Amino acid sequence: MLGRFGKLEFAYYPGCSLAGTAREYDESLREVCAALGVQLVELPDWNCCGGSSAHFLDRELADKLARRNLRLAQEVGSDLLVPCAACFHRLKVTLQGQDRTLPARGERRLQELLGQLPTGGSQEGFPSAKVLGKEGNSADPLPKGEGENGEKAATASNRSERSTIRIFPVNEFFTDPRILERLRCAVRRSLGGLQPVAYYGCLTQRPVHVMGSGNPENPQAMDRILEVLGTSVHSWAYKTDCCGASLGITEPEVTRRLVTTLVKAAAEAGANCIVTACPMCQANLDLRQAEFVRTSTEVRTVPVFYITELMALAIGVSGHERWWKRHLVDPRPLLRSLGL
Amino acid sequence: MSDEGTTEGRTTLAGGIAAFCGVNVFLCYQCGRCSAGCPAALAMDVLPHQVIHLVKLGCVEELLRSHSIWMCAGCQTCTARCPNGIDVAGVMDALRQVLPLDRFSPAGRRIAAFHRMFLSQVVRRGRVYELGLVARYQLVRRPSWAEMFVGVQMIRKRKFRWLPRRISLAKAGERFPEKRSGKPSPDCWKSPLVRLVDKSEQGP
Repeated sequence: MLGRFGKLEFAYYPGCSLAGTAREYDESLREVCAALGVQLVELPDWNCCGGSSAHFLDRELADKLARRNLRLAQEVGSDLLVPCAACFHRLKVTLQGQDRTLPARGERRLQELLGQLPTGGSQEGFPSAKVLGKEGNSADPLPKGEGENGEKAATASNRSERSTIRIFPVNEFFTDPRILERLRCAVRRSLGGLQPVAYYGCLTQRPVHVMGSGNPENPQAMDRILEVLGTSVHSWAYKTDCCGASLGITEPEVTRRLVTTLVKAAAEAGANCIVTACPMCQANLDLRQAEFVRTSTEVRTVPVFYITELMALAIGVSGHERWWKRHLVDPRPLLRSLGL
Repeated sequence: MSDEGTTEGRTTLAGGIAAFCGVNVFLCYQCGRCSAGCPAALAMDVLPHQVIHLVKLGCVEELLRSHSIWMCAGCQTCTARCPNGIDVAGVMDALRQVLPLDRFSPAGRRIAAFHRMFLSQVVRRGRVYELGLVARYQLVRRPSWAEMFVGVQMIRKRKFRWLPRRISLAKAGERFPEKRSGKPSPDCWKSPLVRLVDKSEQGP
């Protein structure tokens, strides 16, 4: 199949999840790319992006972790494919250099305000003046030569032109016209009978001004891919609602309620599976549903696929049995009943 | 209202947030759209728009007493929907970093501890070791049966990798002084890898 297309090359940042609990996402993505003649060059010696924890607790560290990966990608010299939504979010925000700073309405008013406020140093009454002072000194966490605060606002708009690489999440990557066309040609069997809802989650859509998604409350990229695969994709209102994955370990009760809402909504929309492109969402939806089976019977469980797994299935890549085995809500009964 | 809700406190907390993350909380007119869309609001004692209000008023004690800041899942729905362009999620991040960690409520400290475990792994190995992270957190706080059930399922389905992985920086890197010296310092995640990454930044 390789010979049918010209070569395309992308740098590839898997992230810790794809190297661990979401191995089936990694494997299926690599298989699909190989079948479409897209060569993936894994970043040599990549490091963790720091996930939510880093920007929750230490934005300096978050910035450094992401920056190192971006530097590695620049060395490889190709555009970067980042399948994990959380990693994508961190890298994209850092690349745009707009971490925390809204360029829109708030910015100008803010500059005025900042002019009148003490920055850093010791501030009586403020509980953590030390932290603030340190932040003030470490100043600009942006790359060398990015200059002072005022300049930062001025250069924010043209920074993306200066950065030499672009970053793609899986949905955007496969809806790129070149690649979507290849996918269309490569599909061997249509996945008719599968009635998925596309679940985008939070982090590939937000913050809106960084991601530049045209329709952040109702994205369409994954729906388009699913249509190409021949599924009858359902629309639903929960495409970008949070599944609470970052609270999955610390606050399981909250996550359980969010997942229940999502699964019920998917069933109400008439779907027989949920498709996602985020390892956090997949793991969270899959695991919490496995609990339903144990605790109650009122919610019907729905298999949760990675979009790349369905692509591989449609293209006819072998070896998907071993991926299905690693799902907690086993998708095999559904696939068997549809003759897939 | 606390003692810190004075004029003096008011300017410093909101000003500190502005200095830290560049968000002007005074643009908020309390429409409550952030709270309406917040997926974690069901678990919050103080809703996101109220958090913003407390920041405006400089009510540090109230913020420390509430666990809302730590219940925030970081999904950014509030930021996306704010009619005045306030980065509400950014304010939550800033509060987590500028308020003193050890003075938060127990729930807040517990969630903070998890994130710290995560980061201490990242700075030690350069990557996250998922099994180690989950096991360590659950051992500390004694999991419920439901959590143990999920854990067993994950192991049965071979979700976890058994062994951790390191990046070359960490392999070549120094040992971590904080590791054996009794109680870990609250900044323990800030040391080794950051230094190493700094070094590589100065390279060619």
